[in-house]
Formats: sequence, structure tokens, C-alpha cells
Amino acid sequence: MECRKELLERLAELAKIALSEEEKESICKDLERIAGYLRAVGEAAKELEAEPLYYVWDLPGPLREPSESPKVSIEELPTKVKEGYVAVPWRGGSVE
Amino acid sequence: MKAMIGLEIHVQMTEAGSKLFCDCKANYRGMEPNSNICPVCIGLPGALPVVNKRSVELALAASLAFNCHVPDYIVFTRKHYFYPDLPKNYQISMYERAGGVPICRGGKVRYLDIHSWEWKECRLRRINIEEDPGRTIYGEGGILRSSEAYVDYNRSGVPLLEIITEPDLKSAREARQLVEYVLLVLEYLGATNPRLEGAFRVDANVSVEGGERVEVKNIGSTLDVEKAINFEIMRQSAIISSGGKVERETRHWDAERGSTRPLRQKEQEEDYLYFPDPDLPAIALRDMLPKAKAIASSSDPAALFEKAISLGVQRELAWSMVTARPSLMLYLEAVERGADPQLAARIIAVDYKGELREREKDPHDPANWPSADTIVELSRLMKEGAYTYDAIKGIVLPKLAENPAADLKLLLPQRAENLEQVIEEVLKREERAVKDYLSGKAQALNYLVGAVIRAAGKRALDPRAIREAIERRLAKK
Amino acid sequence: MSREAWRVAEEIRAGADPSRHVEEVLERIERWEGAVKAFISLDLPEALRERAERLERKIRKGERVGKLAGLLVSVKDNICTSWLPTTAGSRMLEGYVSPYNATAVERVLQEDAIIVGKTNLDEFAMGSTTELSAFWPTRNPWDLERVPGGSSGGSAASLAYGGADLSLGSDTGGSARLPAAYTATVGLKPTYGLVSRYGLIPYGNSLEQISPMARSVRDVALLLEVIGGWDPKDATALRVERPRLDPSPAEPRALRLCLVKEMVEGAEEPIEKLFWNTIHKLSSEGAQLEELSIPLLSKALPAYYTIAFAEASSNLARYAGIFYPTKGSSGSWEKYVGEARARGFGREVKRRILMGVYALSEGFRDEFYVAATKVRRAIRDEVLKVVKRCVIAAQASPILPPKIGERLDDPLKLYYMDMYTVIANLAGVPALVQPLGFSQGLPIGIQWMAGPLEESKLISLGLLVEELTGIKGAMAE
Ligand SMILES: [Zn+2]
Repeated sequence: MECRKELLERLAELAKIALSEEEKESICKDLERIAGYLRAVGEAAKELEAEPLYYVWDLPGPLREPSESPKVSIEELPTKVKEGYVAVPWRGGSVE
Repeated sequence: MKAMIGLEIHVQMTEAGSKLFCDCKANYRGMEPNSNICPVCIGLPGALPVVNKRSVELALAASLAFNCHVPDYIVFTRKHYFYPDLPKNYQISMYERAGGVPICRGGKVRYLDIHSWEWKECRLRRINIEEDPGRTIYGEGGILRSSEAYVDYNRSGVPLLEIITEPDLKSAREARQLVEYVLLVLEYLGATNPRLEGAFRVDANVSVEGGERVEVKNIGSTLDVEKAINFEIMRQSAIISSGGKVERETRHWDAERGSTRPLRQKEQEEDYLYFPDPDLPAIALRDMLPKAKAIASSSDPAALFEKAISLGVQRELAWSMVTARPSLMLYLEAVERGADPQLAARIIAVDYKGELREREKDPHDPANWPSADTIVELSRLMKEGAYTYDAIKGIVLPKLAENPAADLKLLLPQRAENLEQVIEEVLKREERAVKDYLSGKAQALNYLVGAVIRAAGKRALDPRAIREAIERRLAKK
Repeated sequence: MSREAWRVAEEIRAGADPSRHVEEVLERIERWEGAVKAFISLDLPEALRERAERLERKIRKGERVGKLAGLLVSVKDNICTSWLPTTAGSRMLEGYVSPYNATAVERVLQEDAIIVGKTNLDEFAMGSTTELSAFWPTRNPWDLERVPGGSSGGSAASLAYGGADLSLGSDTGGSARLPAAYTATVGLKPTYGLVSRYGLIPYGNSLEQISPMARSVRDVALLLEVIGGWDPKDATALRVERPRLDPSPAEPRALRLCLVKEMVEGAEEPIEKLFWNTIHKLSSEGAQLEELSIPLLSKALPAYYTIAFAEASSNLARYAGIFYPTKGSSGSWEKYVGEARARGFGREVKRRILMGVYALSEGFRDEFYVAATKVRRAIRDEVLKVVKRCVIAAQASPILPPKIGERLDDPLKLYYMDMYTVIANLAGVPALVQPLGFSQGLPIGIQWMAGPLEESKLISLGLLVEELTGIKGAMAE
């Protein structure tokens, strides 16, 4: 099966995963194989005329009544905090 | 050049109480950064969203108010994009395809053009309920160059209404009026306080004849809606009249510079990978309809405006009251309790409001308005001829504006009949001035008025009423 | 030590010393854990002893004592605990401590259980052997060269060697049942919505349930009674009371078993043999058998994987190096996120995310994701029709526990292992796997599926089968 690299690169961009060249090679082949296998559902669905099922019981969900639940302190999380704000790299470019 | 304008109005339901899917507060103003967060709204692994009932009720009331086609149930979808202010890197929103069901599809807003006093119509494409992302601020160099970004997630998960219109608007002014009217309706429904910082944002799709559609993002005030669209119409018209082409693009409104600038172009179309949020089964609306209908019908600014008009109030005054909800509510209550509709309107919409403005007091804060009983009493006193309108306006209203809860009795000027005796005494004492006045020296009257006020002590007095009383008295001589 | 857990709890409630039981289990851990590596983190022995002493004081004071008094429970490491790290078997979360407890964990603690530690799993529960843990593979206590199944392999292994009395696993497509089959333990995937998912790190939200695991059917029932029932924090939780399960075996003559061709055929010979032996035994005791075929089940595996991948790609978007331990190194946001995700995720997780994005992307969504949800509806409807009239008897695994490394070269080979188990997840119905016996020292299990919320049927049938096979509470020695 032929592997379409542009497709993999597009998927990796959407998924924000920086793949190494070597990884690209092998994952590309795996994806083609897996996609080929999963394609069976497309064929099967055509013959079914079934509506999609997103929630297995098709029941409406509940609504939240106002209540109090525990808060989180940002300091507890493994994240960089500056003056109460969560600091994230933005246009820094250089290695931290 | 002819323009076509469509809007996307994002309005926070600041009055919903809690965030859309957790118990953190919907109104985060004045809080320390990242102090209004929980596992759900910062998307920690394993935490699950549950839809806040009040948000859906309010969104449903808004959909009814805008004559929407409302479905039997709504389905939230996940919209995926990576951004630091989006803790899950997807936003729980709505989408009309891929299994999503928005709360409103196909509605229309009737809004008032206060320049022509005409009701106009703008069709709505749909309304989505969605969660607001956090708020990002940038360091030195701003969004383009700052090395770090700083995120406050207090806003993350606040319920938003995304109101998407058809491109039915023809001018920047119409667009502004539509936005103002939409905000007014949502305020009346109790969904939002549009005056809170950051309570709404507008994106405008603008095209002129012969050009492609340009999206202008990041408009933060109704004034800027007008400015940004006017700028864009001029910019595009200039390109076309000089023979150029307007390409489809997204631009950013820079409020400080008063201009739009292009946003970095993405090489590829966005793909948000929409699908129904598997954590949120569909929400049935039927049980909520009666309550939402009641909210929508009792809080329609158009109907309340018409009611004021039907009481004989001038439309300008009626509109002035509509735009400050507490003033309209005060007016309607006062009239219902027997206040004269004209006098009450004049006090509330013109002079008292003017006093508030002079004192930089917020007319949207109910605490800055007197009670309906006070208005009823003032109206009665004027109606009975005890005081002139000017007396009330000149003496009572400024003091009332200072302290709306003050006892009216202490603010009222001394009544004319009690003054008769004082005037009599003063005229007897000031023989010379009386003589001067009678011989035609006009300034002598001012002296006599002053003397009466002094003689009466510190009580609040209406100089004009005293002047009239002296004139009446001396004319008899 | 081969006493069932419910009996141990009863003894403790009646006055037996819980500390002695803790020592028994600690001895097993001491003896086995080095070779098996079932746990990612173990609580300190002193902490466990301290819990036991506290419980003993409680019993002595005559306070109310919970249903799981003094039982040692292991918890799969994708279920959040606030005092032990929760890694989901991923580098991405190495050392991450959740600020809150999963609902199931809270309920287990309320019943006076002692949580012994967090068990190994395939990264984010994506796998069927526990070899895809980012930390180390767990070995099968019955044969240390072989895998314990996955993804709840650590939980199953901890039970099989006596390192815990009960375990909380999770089951997205067989993740609790396949390991049960491979370790001669019992795993029950509850009806979708019976157990709260609050605090379960999501992989395929619409498919998975936290699942009780134990060495006997009655013990599994006991744990389900504790963790089942409505939770307002999970919008997909069913509004049902906590289940009450009658611990009496089924009456064979009242049994109707359905043998669905697609769920019976295709297993290795020793498995088939033992399966039919059991079925014939039940039949000779009076159970009625019905054979049928649901051809569409041949599409169950691709439908399951398509949905699971799509949901996984979305659920795992949040791991971007901001709130979690694995970070990127670049100073630019886009690159940083890409690096953090490249470092933090293993190969199989990356594959599944990419495949999920593929299945949701514009242009492919209909032929993958949406098509799979349609197939899912058709399969659910067929299964619900069948379980209305009978309990489905099915294989648990097509193969005996494979050797470590044997199935790693080809992802599709790994996926085939779930061919019998994913059906219950697609249909939302409960399914129980229990041991039938051994072939060359390797455990073989059988799977039962009943209608929604018919866990009690599975339990009573399971108890009957235990009587038939005599296999109950088996532990590797
Ligand atoms: Zn929150």
C-alpha cells in the first residue's frame, strides 16, 4: 500500500505532533494499513441507512443545578506561574 | 458603494451565575488571576462537563425573543484548535453539521433604527451556546513578538451566546444599532450586563459590490462596530474604484489606530474536526420552554417601549428610558401606582437622568434611582399645584440624585402658603425696596427675594416661587 | 488467602484484625511484584498499616463500618487519586498528581477499603497486552513470559498474585475483560452509564466504563454495588440507584443462552473446546440454547476502533505541555506543543491520535467517523434484540495469552484480540468474563452479555458457572 506523506503531514499538523522523519516513514505505512482496515465501516454504512448513534442510550442528558464544588489552585499543577498567570512559551524561539 | 454586512456577536451570559459546565462564577471581574477555576473548566484529565441549567434557559429565552426556529433538543459539539487559552485544546460549542444541533436556526431580530424611528429586520442564521476561552495577555512586543504569553483561566468556560446574522445589514450604522438592540434584549432577559468589560465581542463580515467578503475580527464596543465597518467599506471601495480586487481575507480591528490590518494567512483551510461531545448527551428543551417563554415575553424591550408610547410619552423619551432598564421599570411602576405619565417621563427620562449624568452616576444601577413612591408623590404635588415643575427640578431632583433614598419631605421647598407671613413681614420691614420696585427698579425685586430667603432661614426654597409671590402681592397694591 | 474478598470483609466487620490482612497482602506483593510489575505506584506499607489501624479503632468504637472494610483495592492508573500519582501509563503524565479523586475512588474509600496502589496499563488504555505502558510491561503471574492482557493488565495481575483483593479497572473495548480471561480473574464491564466516569482519564468516552475486577463473581458484584449508581458529576451517568445484586446462583432450567456465530467462532482450539464443554454442561443441566448469526458483527471491530480513535484524538488534545509534566523545549508556542506531544506520547498513542484526526477531518468524516456511528446503531439494535430473550454466551479472547513481544510488530494483530469484547462496548450492555479453566497452565475465560442494567443476571449466571467449574478465587502460586 502506498503511503501519502502530505496527508500524514496534514494530520500531524492538526494533531500538533512533531514527528521525526524516521517516525513519519513507519507511521505513514501503519496509518495506510489501519485506514484500509477501518474503511470497511464506510462500505457497511452505505447499505444500512441507519442514523448515527452518538450516545448509546439516545437519552437526553441532565442539567446542572447550581452548587458549590472544589476549586483548583493553579500552584498545585506542574505549570509555570508568573504573578498568578500561567506563563506559556509564545514567540520565544530560543530553548528555555 | 453598496455594502453587505453580516455579524457574529459573541455575548457572555454574565448573569448566568455559574460557568457553562461547572460551578465557577460566570462573572469573574475583580478576581485574582486563576482564582475562578476548577478541574472542569481547566480541562483536567477525568473531569467532566455538566450543562448549567440557567445558561440553557437564558439562551432559549433569547432564541424565542429573536423568533428562532428552536429544536426539540440541542447537541454540543467539540471544536478543535490549539491555543494557550483553550485548556482542552477544543472548545465545547455548537455546529449545525456533524451531529451538532444549535439552539437556534433561522430567526430574525426586529430592531429600532433611532435615526428614522423605523423598525428594521435582520435575519439570524443561528445561535450557538459555547464556552469562552481564558484570557491571554502578552509581554513586551505584544502578540507578534512577546516571548511568553500569560493566561488567566478565570474566563475559561463562561457561557457565551454566539449570534450569527445573515448579511442583511446595509450600513455601519445599521450594524451598530442591531448590536445595541441585541444587547438590550439580552440585558432585559437577564442574560448579560453588556457594560461589563469584555462582555461582548463582534466579528463583522463586510463586502462591497464587486468584491469578496472580508471578515473583521476583534471589535469590542458598539461604537467600534460602526467605526470598523465604515473603515472597511471605505478601504474596500477605494480598492475597487481604483480598479483593484478585494480578496477574501480575515482582518483584525485595531481600536487604537482606528484601522483594520490583515491577519497572518493560513496556508490551508481550518479544520475543526467537529463531532458531538460524547460527554454531553443531547439536552431536551421541552421542559424549559414555559419558563423561557415567560422570561422572553415579560422582558421584551420593544413591547415595553410601545407601552410607554401608548401612555403618551414622546418616543425619544420613551427610548431614553428603555435604554436604561431601571429607569423604565421605575417609570412603569410609578405610572401604575398613579403618577402622571407625562410628568413622570419628564422627571425620569430628562431631568433626573441629567442629574445622574452630571454626577457621573450610573443610570443602569437601580440603586441610583428613587422609589416609585417618590415619583408618585412628586407627580401628585405638581398636579395639585403645590409646586411648579421647575421647583421640583431645580431643588428636589439634584438632592434626590445625590441620595435617591432621602426622605422627600426634607427635600421639598417650603410651601407657598407658609411663606405668606414671612413675605408680609419682609415687605413691611423693607419699605424702601418696595418703593423702588413699585417705581420701576427691577433689581429691587431680587433684593426682596433674597431678604425673604434669609428671613425664612435655611429651609429649601424655590426663588422663583418667592419672586412670583412677591409680584402677586405687590400687584395688589 | 484464597478466601473471597466479601468473606474477608465480613470477618473484619465481625472483629478480625484488619492489620493482619494488610500484612498478608504485603507479603504477596513482596514476593511477586518484582517479577510481575503490576503497580506503577504503591502506597507506603506504613500508610496501609496506618489505614488498617484506623479502621480497627473505628470497629472497636462501634462506628458504622463500610462494605469493603479492610479490603485492599488496587486502582488502574487512569483513575484519578489525589494522594498517589495518576499517569495513565504515559510519560506525558509521569508524576502527575490529580487534585481530586474519581467518584469511584471516593465511594470505595467511603466503604472503608484501603487503596494499595495504582496499576499498570497500556498508555492511556490504548492496548490489549499492557506492553504499551510507557514504563514497563506487566507480566502474567500464571506465566511470567506472557502478557496479562490489557489494558487493565496491572489490575488483573495484581489480583492474580494476591496483591489486592479487588481492583478498579476500566473497559473501553475489553480492557477489563481480556485481562480477566488471561489471568483467571473476573472482570465486569457494566452497562454504559451505571458507573460514573468522573475521574476516569478518557480514551473513548462513549464506550468506556470503570469496571470492577476481582477473583470471584461475588467479589465483582460487591465492588459494583459500591461504585455503581448515579453521579451528578457525569452527564452520561444513568439516573439509577446503586445496584443491589443477589448472590445466589442461577437456576439452569430458567436459563436461555444465545450463541451468536460471530462471537463464538474463530478462537484457538483449546479455547473452543473448553467453551463448548461448559455450554454443553449448562445445556445438560437444563439451559436452553439458541444459535444465531449477526453478520454485521464482522464490522464491529473497525466500527469500534474508528469511534475510539476519533474520541481519543480529541480527548488527548489537552496534553500540550502546559498543565502536565512533559514539556517542550522550544520557546515558540506551536513548536513547543509539537515537541511536548512528540516526547510525551508513545508510538501507538500517536498512531491512534493521527488516525482519529483522519477519521474526523473534513472530507473523511462521513466515510469513517459518521459511518462507524451508523454501524454502531445497527449493531446496538441487533444486540439489544437478542439480549431481550437470552444471555449471550461468547468467547472472551480468540487466543491464549501471547508471549511478551509476540504481538507488537503489527497494530492490526493487536486489534484482533478485542474482536469479541468490543461488541458490549458498542452496544452499551454489561458483559462479564470469568475463568473456565486452564490449558497448559494458561487461563481461559468465557464471556456473558446481558441486557442494559441486567448485571444481576450476569452475576447469578457467573455464580452458577463457578459451581460448575469449581474455579473461584484462583491465585498463581
Ligand atoms: Zn470551573
